[in-house]
Amino acid sequence: MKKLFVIILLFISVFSFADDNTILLEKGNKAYNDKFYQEAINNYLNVIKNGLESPSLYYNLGNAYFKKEEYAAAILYFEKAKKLNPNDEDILYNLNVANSKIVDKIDELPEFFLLNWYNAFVSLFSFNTWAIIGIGLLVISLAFLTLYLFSKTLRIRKISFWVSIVLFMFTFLTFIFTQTQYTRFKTNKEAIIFAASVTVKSSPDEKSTDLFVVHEGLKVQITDTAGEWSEIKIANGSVGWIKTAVFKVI
Amino acid sequence: MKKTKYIFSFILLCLIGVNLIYGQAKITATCKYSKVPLNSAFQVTYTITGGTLSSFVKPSFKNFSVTGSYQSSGGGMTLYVNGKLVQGGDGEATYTYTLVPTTIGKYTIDAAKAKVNNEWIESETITIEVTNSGSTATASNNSKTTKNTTTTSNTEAADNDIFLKASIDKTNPYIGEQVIVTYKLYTRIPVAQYGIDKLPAFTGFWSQDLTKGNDKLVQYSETIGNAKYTVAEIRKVALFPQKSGVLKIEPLNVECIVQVTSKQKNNDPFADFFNDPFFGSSFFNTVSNVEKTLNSNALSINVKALPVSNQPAEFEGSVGKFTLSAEIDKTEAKTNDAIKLSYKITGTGNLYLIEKPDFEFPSDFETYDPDIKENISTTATGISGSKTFSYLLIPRSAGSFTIKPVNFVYFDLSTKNYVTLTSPEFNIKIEKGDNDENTTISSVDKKDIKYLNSDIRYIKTNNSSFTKIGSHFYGSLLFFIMLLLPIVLFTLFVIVYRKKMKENSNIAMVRNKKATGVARKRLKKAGLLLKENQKEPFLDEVFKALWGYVSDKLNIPISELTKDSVSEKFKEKNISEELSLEFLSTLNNCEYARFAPDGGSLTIEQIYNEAINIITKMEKELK
Repeated sequence: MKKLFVIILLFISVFSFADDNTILLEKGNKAYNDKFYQEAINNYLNVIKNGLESPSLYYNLGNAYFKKEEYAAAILYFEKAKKLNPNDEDILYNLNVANSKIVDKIDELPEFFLLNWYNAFVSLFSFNTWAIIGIGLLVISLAFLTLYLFSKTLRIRKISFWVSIVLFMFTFLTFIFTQTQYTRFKTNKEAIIFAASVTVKSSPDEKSTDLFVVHEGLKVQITDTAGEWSEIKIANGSVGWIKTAVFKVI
Repeated sequence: MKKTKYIFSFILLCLIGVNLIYGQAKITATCKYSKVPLNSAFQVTYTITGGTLSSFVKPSFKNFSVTGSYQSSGGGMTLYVNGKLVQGGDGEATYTYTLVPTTIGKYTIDAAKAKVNNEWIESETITIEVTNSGSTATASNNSKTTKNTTTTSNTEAADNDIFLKASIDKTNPYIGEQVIVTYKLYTRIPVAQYGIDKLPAFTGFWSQDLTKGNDKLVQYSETIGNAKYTVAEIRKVALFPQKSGVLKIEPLNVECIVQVTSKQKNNDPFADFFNDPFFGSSFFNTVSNVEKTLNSNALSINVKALPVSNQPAEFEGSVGKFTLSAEIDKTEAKTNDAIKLSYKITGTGNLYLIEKPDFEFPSDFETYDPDIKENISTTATGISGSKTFSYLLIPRSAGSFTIKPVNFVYFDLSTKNYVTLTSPEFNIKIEKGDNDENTTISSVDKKDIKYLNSDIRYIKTNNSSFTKIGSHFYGSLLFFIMLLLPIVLFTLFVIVYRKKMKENSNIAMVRNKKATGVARKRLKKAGLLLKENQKEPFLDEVFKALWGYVSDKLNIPISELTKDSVSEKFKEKNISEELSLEFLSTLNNCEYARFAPDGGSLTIEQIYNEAINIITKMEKELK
């Protein structure tokens, strides 16, 4: 009886040690369910303040902002979620819905179709997932190599040799994808416009020529930064300068 | 008043027959003004006297627009002297036109023509200067009148003879509460005609004229001070204030023509004839039409705002007292049968402003915009009646449906509170119609899912795990450990395995090399034992030498040594069958010698030789 009591006590203590951040997330989810969206946002943001992130957290935060009709913030967090988990259906769906609420509609610059396919394939997973896949492939190919080396049957040795060669090639490719995604993640700085309407200038200067106008919620690529100005590139290929204060980096 | 006019005309007609000879026909054009501001109305009067008028041709009023005209006859005078008719009322006919100048400039109005006593006569022309609007009209100093009678100063009606008064039934209403404005005309003198150009703009109000359609004027007598007035309620307007605060009601302007009994001095030479002391006073009373503009007093209303604290969200501005009734003509129907739903608000108040109710009909019902019927009566006490919204519903599929109730909120003026009226809930059972086979066939077609709304997907409630922002698995220490670990393990495994294999193969080689030596040694020992004639240890030694040799030479563990496994190994090593059999038979002989009590058929010397012989042969064969 005493033993049982101790065990129960141990269990309770384990659960009460559950992560504070998980509690914050659950609080946020409850607030969202009760339609207190601002409270939900505050809870979610506290988790981010603690230096943690997860696709679900960003996704839920995006949802709460969407419900408050703050579409730029919603898109920002959906994009962040997508960056961590590029092929989650819910994230892609909600991002699409949020994008339909914004003013700007820009036709994407067509790319060479093979490049497009390659990009789409590489973007299927985040670099972390690619890395795990790579390690898995490496283990399997090493196993086949072992089989080749120590098997006494000629047929098995032959098959395992070729399988291991092919698997090694795949492993190599996977690590190329991993590196590609990682480089993109590090260098491809994308941002969401937060100001209601921004005039894009031809150079980092208030007096320079007005090129075009972008609106709240548009995703842009940051290609350069000079002082308080940043060079942006939008999906149709147009380039110009805007102030760094009007956007938030994904 | 009209009656007197008729009598007058009758007398006139009788007198026309007399047709006094000294009467000379005349047509006079009269205009009070010589200068008129643009867009302000003035009147031109043509008076025809002295004969029977058979036709009148009005001038072309170029540059003016005629906004009104009226004609009257009578006003002439009849004079009897000593019971004998001396002067007949010649039948004065007047044509009055109200003109509004349309352009600035100096214009001449053409002469009017009249056929009097079968003769055409013409009036004089009138010159009018039209000035900018805003300037005041200047009275004509050279009056074109050639009237043979000049009116004396008291033809103007006094202000207290006739005036206009506006009154309201309440001065402090709520927004949307009905306020009735009554314009009363007080008069002590007959009024020939009156006209209201237009009602003042009731800014800040929604207004409804209550006198429209009511031909009969409410008339009564009222005594103010000593004077007795005839009071006519010429206009009654129901006003519904639309905003709070002090609202002004502008005065109403009424143009009217009053009949003033004036004293006239007859300048006619014939009249002079009678104008002698014998007749005493030569003044005769006559009635003339005088135009007068009346202005009512301005009013101001202080409108109270409706209480906001307990205002229901569904309140849409209805103020008054209402009842709600909603009906449905059937609660059981078949598909495609029309169902009629009527929603009726009855009461007093600002009924006009009631909007259609927002019913939520099932999406399987085909609905149309409601037919709105207003049955509103505007009586002198205000606006009351009903407003009905009739909906036509056509159920397209069978089932049980519910039409949820709707609320109607109004502000009750008597209790000063908001009242919510709720329509009943309707439950309708729709059965599949018998005679709508066509539609059932078409309804076999599968329907697309109806998307009522689009929304984002729900949040994720299962969190996998948090990761530190900026820390990634790829490139982390864990990643490199996981990457290198399989490689290291693999390499270690290969190295260790190889080494072991090598060691194993070395042992076999040594044993192989030593096998002959060991066998020799054993046989040598056996030779010594043979010399000592120790049979048991000798056989033991020979047996060990043979087995040991095979075990070492063929790399068979001692535990696995059987005759079967040995013969198998011989086959593998390509040792001839004969040798194999020979070896086995030597082993058998040896065993037999060991365990058989008689020592067997062979002597121990023979066994010794056989063993040496077979090992030598084996040595050759396995090389």
